[in-house]
Parts: sequence; structure tokens; C-alpha cells
Amino acid sequence: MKKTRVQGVFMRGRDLATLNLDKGNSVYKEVLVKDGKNEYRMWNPKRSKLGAAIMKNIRGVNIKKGDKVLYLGAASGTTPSHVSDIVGKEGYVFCLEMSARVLRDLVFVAESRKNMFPILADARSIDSYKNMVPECDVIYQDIASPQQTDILIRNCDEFLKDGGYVYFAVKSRSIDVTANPNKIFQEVEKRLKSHFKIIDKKRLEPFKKDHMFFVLEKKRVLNK
Amino acid sequence: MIKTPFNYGKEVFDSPKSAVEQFLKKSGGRDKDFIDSGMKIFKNEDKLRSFLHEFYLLMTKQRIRESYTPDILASHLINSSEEIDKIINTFYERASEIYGLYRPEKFKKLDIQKLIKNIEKEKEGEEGDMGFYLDKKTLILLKSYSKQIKELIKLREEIVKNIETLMNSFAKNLSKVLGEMLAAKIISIAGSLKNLVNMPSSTIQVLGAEKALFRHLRSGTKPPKHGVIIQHPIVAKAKKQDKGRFARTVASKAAIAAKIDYFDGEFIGDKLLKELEERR
Repeated sequence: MKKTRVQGVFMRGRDLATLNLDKGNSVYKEVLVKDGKNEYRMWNPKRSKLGAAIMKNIRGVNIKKGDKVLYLGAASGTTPSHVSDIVGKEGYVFCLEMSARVLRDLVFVAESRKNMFPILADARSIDSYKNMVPECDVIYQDIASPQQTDILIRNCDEFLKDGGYVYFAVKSRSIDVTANPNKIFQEVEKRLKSHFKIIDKKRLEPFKKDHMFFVLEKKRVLNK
Repeated sequence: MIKTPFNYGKEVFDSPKSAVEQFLKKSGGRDKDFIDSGMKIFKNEDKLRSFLHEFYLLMTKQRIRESYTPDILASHLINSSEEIDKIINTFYERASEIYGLYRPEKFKKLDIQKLIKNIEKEKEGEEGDMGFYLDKKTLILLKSYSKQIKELIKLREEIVKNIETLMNSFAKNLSKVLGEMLAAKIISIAGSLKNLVNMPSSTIQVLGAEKALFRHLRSGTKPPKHGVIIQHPIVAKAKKQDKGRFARTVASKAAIAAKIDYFDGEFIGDKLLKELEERR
């Protein structure tokens, strides 16, 4: 197991892995690998957009140990479980998901991981979970919705600290099936520029079709 | 709903919600720092974490339970009945082919019920000029085939009955206008009754014809006239040139009915259906 330049993420040959927080259990039937005392979970980039972005050498993936992460669109917990590995025991991952069916699967993952906190709520109605989420260091958003840029900006205004990082997966097909993906990505970038500093962006092409992954930093508000 | 109070050490909360409210009071109403204010209560990170963890799980489980609606079950049942239809058909075709090897004279396009009856009466031996000798092992096999098909037909009938009572319990108007089975099918395609209520009638008209619709949007072919709504007797019996028009009218009545059902309105299904019949 070799360290990568991303904190908490390891490599074995050409495959990604994270240190398993919940020893002996795998989340989505991924392979567990033992290396000395530690146990690692292999990370399948075809099933996780963050994994795919790291495989494509995106700059600025900077989730530290002990970070508070707000994860919007957690689904059944594939990527959140790896984020939970990265932030470690001291971290907090608040997993927001709208669909009760997939969150049911995540509840079982969260039961054995003490740093995962599931919330059943719609990311569009911030008021319904305002009291459940503290100020966060990182926001990760992967929601297949036409208004996903809007949702991100509103959540960041509410929950993200100044200078906090944002990881944002855009699926052009869910914004408009018929339009050209390049055009959509340009529009999204234009909107993002007014709120964030864009650190890096990458197409996820061999792993996911018509997806763009953004790494953003919230602009610091200067006090007088 | 969770009724027992939620204990943690000395603190007792009626509900997860009140726990957060307590946190908020102690932190002076600043929502953003409830982890910090929680530290003031628990004075120990591990304790705070296990409290919060338990609390979020409980709250989420409760919300998941509350999110149940009868339309989820209805769409599972309608999909299941369609799957069973397919299974019955494949079983029937295979069984009748095997049966035909031994009794080609009787075979001549038997329908399901006749096939089951014939197989049940069958005995070991040879018949006619073309058939093979029917041995004991194959006979047992054929009989268990017919038994399975019979059971599946029974299961399907039970499911249909269930769908009818279920649909009449929460979507009376829609079931009256479209018929229980078609109403359930449309809800399952829309995702839920709530999604269906948010749809304009022009979308309901082409539900189930997504492939043709998106082909139309992409490359400008002709738009589809109807989706699953063609199963409705009024649309199905219409002349070819009228089908699009009837599909549109039925869809508009269905949209009205769905909205009434969702917001617990009165039963006006009869009136809606009558208006439909008049326009024929």
C-alpha cells in the first residue's frame, strides 16, 4: 500500500484504497486488503465519482482528518463510506438523502460507523434540516437534479465556513438530456465563478459519461 | 412514532427534536455550533458523539417509517403482476412444447387452462403415430410444471385483488376514471401519486412512451400520441385517427382525479367518467 498525494487515500498497484474504519466489513462488496496491521478497502472509481476524480489526478482534494463534511445526495453510502474512512474517527459526515429507499441501505452502513450521521431530507428545503447540520469544513454534492448548481450555492451560503472546500459532481444529462454537455458545463462554471474560486475541474470520461467534477473553494469574506 | 422518552445519562428528551432544541437553548440559539454547545453538556467528545449518533439514527429511522405511502406498495404490486404474466407465458410455452413431443395429436394450440387439464389427466404410455413414449419421470416433470403454472395464476389473481382494494382505499377517483390496474400502472411510472399530481395532463398522456418522446425531442420525429393510457377502453376502442384526441381527454380527466385524490377531496369519479363517455 503506497500513500498518494491525497491525504487518507492509498494506492495498491493502480487501484485506489482507503483505510477501513469498520474492520472486517465491506459496504458495497468491495475487496478488503490487509497490509500489516491495517485493513484497507479498495475503492472502485466506476462506482464513485470522487474516486474517479482522484484517479484522473484532480488537484485540491483536501479532506482532512477530523473534518466536518456535509454530504448532499448520499444515496446508499458508497462514496460516503470512503469519505468516512478519510475523515477518521474524529470526523463528522452528515449524509443527506431525499429518497427513503436508498437511505435505508445507508442506515445499516451508518450503524457501524460512528462518524456517519444520516438525515432524510430534501436538499432544496434547507429549513427542514437547518438544525441538524453544523458549520462544515467540506461540502460534497452529487445530486442528479436540473437545479443542482442552485442547491449547492444555497447550501454553501448556509453551512460552509469561509475558505471551506466544495466537491461538486455535475451530470449534464440530468440538467438537460438533449443539450451538448460542453455547453452545460460552461454555463455551470459561469455561475460557480461568482461564488467560488475554481481550483480544478476534470471530465470523468473513462469512468462516467458526460460528468464533470469541480473542486471549489468558498471565497473568504474580508472583515473591515 | 417513537413514544418512549429518549434517555441519555441524566438528560431525558421527549423526542430527538427536543434534544436539538435543548442544545440550541444552551448555545444561545446559534444553530451552527450545536456540536460545541453539546460539548458543554457532555464534556466528553466520545459521549457526545455516541449520543449524536444514536440520535441521528433514531430520527432518520423514524422519518423513513413516516415516509411510507400506499402508492409504493401499489407500484410494486402492479409491476409484480406484470412480471408474473411474463413468467406464466414462458412456462406455458415451454410446457406445451414438451407436452407436444409426447402427445402431438392433442397438442394443437392448447390454451393454458386446457393444457393444465390435459396434463393432469395424462398417464404413462404411448399414443398416436408421432408421439414418443411418455415415461414416468417425464410425466412427473410435466405434472409439476402444470402445478406451478396453476399456482402462479392463483398468485396473480390474489395480487390483482389486492391492487383493487388498495387503489380504492387511497385513489378512488383515479381508479374510477382509469380502472384500478391502469391507475396503479400510471402511478408506478410516475414514481408516486405525489409525482403524478405534479405532472401536467400532457405528460400523463405520454407516460410509458418515454422512448418515443425523447426521440422526438432529440431528433424531431413525430411526437407519441399516447403511452400506457392506450390500455384504457375508451382510447383502445377509438378509431385510429381519434386515438390521440381521446388519449388527451382521458389524460386530462386523470390529472383532475389524481389531484382530488392527493388532496383528499370528494368522490367525483362517476361524474368525470360520465363526462368522458359523453365525448365519445
